[in-house]
Amino acid sequence: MAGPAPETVATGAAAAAHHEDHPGPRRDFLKMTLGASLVVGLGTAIWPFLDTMDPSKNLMARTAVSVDLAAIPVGSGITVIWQGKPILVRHRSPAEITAMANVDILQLRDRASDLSRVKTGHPEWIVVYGTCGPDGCVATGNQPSDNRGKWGGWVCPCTGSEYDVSGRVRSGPAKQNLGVPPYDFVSATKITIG
Amino acid sequence: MAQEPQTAQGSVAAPATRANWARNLFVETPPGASFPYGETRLPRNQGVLWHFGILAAVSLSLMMLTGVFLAMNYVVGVDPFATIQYLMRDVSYGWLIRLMHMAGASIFFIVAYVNLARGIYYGTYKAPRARIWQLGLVTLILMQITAYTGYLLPWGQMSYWSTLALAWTLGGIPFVGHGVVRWILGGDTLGAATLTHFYTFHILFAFAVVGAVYVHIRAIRENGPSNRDGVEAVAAEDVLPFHPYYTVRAGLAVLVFLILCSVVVFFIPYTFEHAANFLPADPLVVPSNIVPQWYLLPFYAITRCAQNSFIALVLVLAAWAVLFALPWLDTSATRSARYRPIFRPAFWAFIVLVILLGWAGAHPTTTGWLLLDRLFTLLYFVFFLIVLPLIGAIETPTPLPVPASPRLGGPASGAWPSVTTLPGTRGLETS
Repeated sequence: MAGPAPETVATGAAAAAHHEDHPGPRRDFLKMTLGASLVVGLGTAIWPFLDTMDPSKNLMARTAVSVDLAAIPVGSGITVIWQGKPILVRHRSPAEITAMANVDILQLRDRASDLSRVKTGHPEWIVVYGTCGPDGCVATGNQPSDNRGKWGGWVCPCTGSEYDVSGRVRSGPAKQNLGVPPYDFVSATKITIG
Repeated sequence: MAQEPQTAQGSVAAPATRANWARNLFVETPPGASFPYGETRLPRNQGVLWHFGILAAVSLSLMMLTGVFLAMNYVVGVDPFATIQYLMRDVSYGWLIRLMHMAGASIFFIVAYVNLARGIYYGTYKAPRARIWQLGLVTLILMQITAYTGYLLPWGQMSYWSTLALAWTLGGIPFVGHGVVRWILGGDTLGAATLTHFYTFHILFAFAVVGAVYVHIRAIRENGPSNRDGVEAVAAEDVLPFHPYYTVRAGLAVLVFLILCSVVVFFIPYTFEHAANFLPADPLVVPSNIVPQWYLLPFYAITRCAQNSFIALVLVLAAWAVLFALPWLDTSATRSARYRPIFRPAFWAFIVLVILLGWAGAHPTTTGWLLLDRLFTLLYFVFFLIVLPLIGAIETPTPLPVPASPRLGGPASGAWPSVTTLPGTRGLETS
């Protein structure tokens, strides 16, 4: 072999040792740049994969659900599904409306006036989320024959919490009132949820 | 044959610590005196095509990753075609995961076929590496079964009819063929049972591919890595440390590969998809021409030579058998086509032939195409059974480079380059 002796060829352990012995600022910079790029790049790349497990768009789409109120007799309610969640729609009697309006708000656990929970001009309709417990329990009380609890609204079968006919929590472990979903009156006897 | 102690690179049970697992993945330094260093090396005369092993592993990883998230969102059996629309439109990034998986299958096969052709061109299947070659073929068969079962899941027109067309060949098993096909499909035709069967097969065989790849890599490690000259590395000058030389080069190859994959996935994802598969499967409407996935076409063409499913099955099994027997059908002692003047053009003729075979397979079986089908199939077997042994007998190979000599990756002047002047390593040694 006409070339230099093997000793001058930087192979194997010699090369590795050489490479470790010169930790200059340039190499540090390259290493940090590479490391940062990898972290950012992989982090960005992994997001679409994880995001596929989130609720799908058809579930989350705020597709409007129309509810015909004409078929609901006074004193009764129905349950409709919107975005996969139960929504309670209840036709209140004049007595119930008066009773709810006269509740002393300061006594409530989650203070809210009845006016703030119904649409102006439609006090006979109360529309609330039916989910009443952390485990996705659905409150009962739509039918007059159901157990409506002491306040005549709904009862959570899992926690025992009782709600008045405005959907406000009155007893039991619950801390919050039943939420009011976004909805609007299309006509006097028809609402659109969502 | 694979066990011949031609080199000293046998399996050595070295204590694998966390620090050196990457090095041990490929070659463990043999205990002999020829490798005086205690770390993993690869021949310095491996070409760019040797990256296709890593690229295949990257492809497989991406297929497994996208496959897992697709499996979470795919609804088996209700309305599979609508499930794909749901995936594409409603699942967050579902379009991305699905297109990566769909185009990724074709990319995986491109990489695998380049890897296979590389093995033929450089004769890397010869002793002591016949086992590596055959395990690679096993991997490929498992890949094809995985792809075949996966292609039914979108439930498009071509999914449906090409699945039936290929299942017909299995019916050629003597006596029990019809029963086997019924058993696999879960009925006399494709239905909800077929879908659940194939969904399960698809996942099972995907994991079988992972297992086969692992064994394939173990075999490379135990029999030593090949190189483009087909000369065993014997001296320290013939090899380079796995790290940093090959990690950096392979890293660059993976980056370029991922860029190309991104171009396919984002701009031309439907390149490999047949237009008929955008229609839902209809058991009453046969497409004018049934075309399986492109990577199955050469084999599909071979099965179509026969009108009888038994003969079709025998032909396609024979087509695989000659691939498995390649280490013995190729009788030349010289491995690499770089030193085989007659084998070299024959190899390229074979590549063209396989492409022609696939081209014929993509056309309807009219008389003309059937004739071409049969001609190309005949030539396929002629190449393996007549041309290859003949070349081995009559060819005079050009002289091989002597290991540890400048011809082995060194410059023509005869001087060994210092490591810093090797291609792809510039700047590595200077801070």
